[in-house]
Amino acid sequence: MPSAASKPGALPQGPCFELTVASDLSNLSRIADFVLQAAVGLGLDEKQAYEVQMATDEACANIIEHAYGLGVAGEIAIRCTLEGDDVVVTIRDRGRPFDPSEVAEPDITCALEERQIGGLGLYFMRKLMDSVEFTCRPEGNTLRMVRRRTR
Amino acid sequence: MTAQAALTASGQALLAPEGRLDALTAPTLERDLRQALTTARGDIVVDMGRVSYISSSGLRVLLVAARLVRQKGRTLRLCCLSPRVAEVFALAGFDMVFPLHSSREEACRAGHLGLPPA
Repeated sequence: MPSAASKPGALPQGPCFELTVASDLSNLSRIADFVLQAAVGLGLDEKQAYEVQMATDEACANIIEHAYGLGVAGEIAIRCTLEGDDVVVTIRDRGRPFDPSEVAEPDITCALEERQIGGLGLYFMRKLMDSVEFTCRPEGNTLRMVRRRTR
Repeated sequence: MTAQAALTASGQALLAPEGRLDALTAPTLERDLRQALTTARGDIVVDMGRVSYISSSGLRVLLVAARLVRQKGRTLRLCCLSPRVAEVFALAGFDMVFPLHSSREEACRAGHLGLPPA
């Protein structure tokens, strides 16, 4: 079971689910279980929770494969909270900074042969969430994704 | 996630991966698909019925495999997508580039008849 901790009283106010795991692809399923449980706990329905899980999975796979790189030790800290009617997923890592502007948006209408191989992960994150913001600072990278409960 | 291919009587390969198809498990499917491509004479059919989740990593593997299969003049066919997996395909526009079938039988029959991709 994922270690979902409820911390009433801490900032931000309200329920808060936190998980810190090693940067390893084998932790993706554990992250998925955690986010599903947290998202439902924060009031999302099953379909919305599945979509937040997917956005988080794409984000964490990027961190493991690209920010840290496969086989490089590091930690990923995930926090799910409620801000008003927004479910906010915050993901922190200390890997290489990520510049989303360097990722071209995939053309999802072209034929098999012309399909781009990359860029789909970020595309999914933006499609599934209401906002996706990357902040890179010397002390680490923060990804903040918001999903409104009603949309 | 293991999906070693079974060969049908007409030389098509049938793979049935299970569980999450994410960045961890996608490379295993890629290996199994490449192997199926060398052993099968006909189309490759992937039964997605037991795949509970697919991420961009899983889609990438299917895309790469579909191109390899196409280069050999054959087709990669998918069947039995769960509603959740079908939604991801639609989101990526992958429902337009893969022949999707409702059952293994339909996919195998289409392959046997050499039908063009949908």
